[in-house]
Amino acid sequence: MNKTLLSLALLAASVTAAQAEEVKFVTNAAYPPFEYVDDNNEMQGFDIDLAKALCAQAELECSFHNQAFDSLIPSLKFRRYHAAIAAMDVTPERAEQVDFSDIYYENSAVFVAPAGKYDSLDALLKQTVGVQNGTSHQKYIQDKLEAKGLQSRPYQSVQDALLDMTNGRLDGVFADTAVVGEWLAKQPGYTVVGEAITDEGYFGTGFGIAVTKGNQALLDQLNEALAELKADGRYDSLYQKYFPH
Amino acid sequence: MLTHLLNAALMTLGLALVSLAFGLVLAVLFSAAEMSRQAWLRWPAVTLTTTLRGLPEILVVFFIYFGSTHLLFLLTGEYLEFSPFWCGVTALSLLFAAYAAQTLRGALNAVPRGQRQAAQALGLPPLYTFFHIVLPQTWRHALPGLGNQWLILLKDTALVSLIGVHDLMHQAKMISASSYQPFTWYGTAALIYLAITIISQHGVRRLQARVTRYD
Amino acid sequence: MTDWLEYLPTLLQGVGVTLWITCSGLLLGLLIALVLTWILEQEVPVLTQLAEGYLLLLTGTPLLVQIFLIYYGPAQFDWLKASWAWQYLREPGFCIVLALGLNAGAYTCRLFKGALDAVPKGETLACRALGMNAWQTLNVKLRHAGRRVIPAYSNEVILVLKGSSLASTITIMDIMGLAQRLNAQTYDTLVVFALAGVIYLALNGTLTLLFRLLERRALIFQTQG
Repeated sequence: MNKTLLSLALLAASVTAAQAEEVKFVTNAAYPPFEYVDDNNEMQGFDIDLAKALCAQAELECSFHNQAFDSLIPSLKFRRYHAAIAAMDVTPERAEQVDFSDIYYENSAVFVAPAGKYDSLDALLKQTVGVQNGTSHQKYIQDKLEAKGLQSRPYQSVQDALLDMTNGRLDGVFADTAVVGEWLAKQPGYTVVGEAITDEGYFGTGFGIAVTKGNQALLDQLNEALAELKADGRYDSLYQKYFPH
Repeated sequence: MLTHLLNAALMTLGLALVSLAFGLVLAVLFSAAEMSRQAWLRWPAVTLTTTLRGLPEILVVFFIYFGSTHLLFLLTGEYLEFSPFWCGVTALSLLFAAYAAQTLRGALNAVPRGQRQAAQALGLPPLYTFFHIVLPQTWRHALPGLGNQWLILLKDTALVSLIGVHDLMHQAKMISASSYQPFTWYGTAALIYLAITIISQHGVRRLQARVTRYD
Repeated sequence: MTDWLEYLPTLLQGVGVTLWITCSGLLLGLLIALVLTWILEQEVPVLTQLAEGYLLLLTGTPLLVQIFLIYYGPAQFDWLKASWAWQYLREPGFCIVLALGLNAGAYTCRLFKGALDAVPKGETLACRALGMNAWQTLNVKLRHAGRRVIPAYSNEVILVLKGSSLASTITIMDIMGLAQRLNAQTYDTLVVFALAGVIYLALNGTLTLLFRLLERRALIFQTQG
């Protein structure tokens, strides 16, 4: 059996080597408008479109794969995939594990809750809010707000948490402003509570594309392509497509 | 959407069958090691199977999925990757083997000593004795237990949806999320699992009738 | 590998939750199993068929599906969300105990029924011949079956403990939930999951030991009785 496993492992490794030309992107496609799966089981969203545009610009062959958010960095670390584009905040902890491209989206975080129930963040402090497991949001609550009485529950995706809030299981959800904005536009009866939070220690300066540590070649190609897209207006038209408000 | 679900059910079946094949081979190896007179073979095998039986299945699945590449890297210094499917197969076949090894051991012990001695007295070669006299009887004793473990394996496949294998459970989760009808779709998935279980039970029973036809 | 001392206190915080879920699930399961076994033993019409259906459904489908069905399923129905039941169903803790209890109930019933069926027919007939009524006969059967049930039930306890780890899939912070959070934040997979494994093994070992003691006591009681 050990021999079989070993030969399987070697097979898997040789297959990877043969396809080295292809850049394998991984994401967690449960995060509209950044990444989601449409009715035809195809991945869509701002990140996906941006990555495709970057690949076209840098003349790279790219494929996209879907994983749980909390396994994105491990799978980069162990070279299961080459790059992750998943609305991922560039944080010091993550930067120890992977290398990040230049920021491609500026980010902040907000609380949402049923409208008219909590007029400030303080009013929400004794309640239970949902967060996505393994995110900076979870860490932020754990470090800064748990002591003040705020409970958090971990979810596989923000969408799951938002759904559980509409079901009445959660008093609020803590997530990225852009994601919440998209959702709020479709959900009357819910509102942002308090100010947007931009704590650099947690939410960094924005979203970056993560690559396996030391893959400078890919990083350079992506950064160069990103600069091109920003310069010739393709980035802006993409941005307008997904974030008109 | 039902077609999506049925396709995913095929994935579940495939996963279970591949794990069964690997699991049976592993189970034979484990039980042989556990019954070995060599302590250095026996103790690792006993420790491994006892540990596997004591751990939550989901922990084994996660450990293999997240930990396999990590462990291989520490051991070999190479990055080797496994797909979620093969991680799932590894975890499921190990879990199956940990229980099936016990069943096999019990079944081998259940074959009366006299059978082997009689074969020896008749001058039959040891390998012939094992394959034509002991093994057919072991099989008969082991089948009910193995059949049960196959049903458990089938149900345990649902756990690999958590590491991203597109099995029946994973598909049910996707459809539930997009249609806002979780009860309908998890319910449908449950009925498909039930159907596979019932068909399996009939299969095992027929197999049982075949191997015990001379009793 | 030096951080394991740091992870251990975090993981140990989950032990209470895990044990609470396990015990509540077992208790509910035991109640359900007793009722079902009684129905099957007495062959109550209609109820027997319902009980058989229940056993088939609960033992024929994965526990994970049952948990998701109970946790996510009710949200599909607005009338259910408006009813009194929602205040319980909205709590993940209630959902996991309900799911584990329903599941354990089915397996425990199979176990009880198996032990009762293993009591030799002659014993039942002898009771009848001695003029005992149905209750007295059942009493004799139960004493006989009890000896087989205790070791088998300790297996069931381990199964429920292992199953309780699925609570983490519906946002509960038990040992497994905390392990997943640590893994997602530190990426120190091997150490985190190995530690969690050691805690589960320790709990299993303790429970098994407790049952061995219980078994010995029960057997003493039987030889004296």
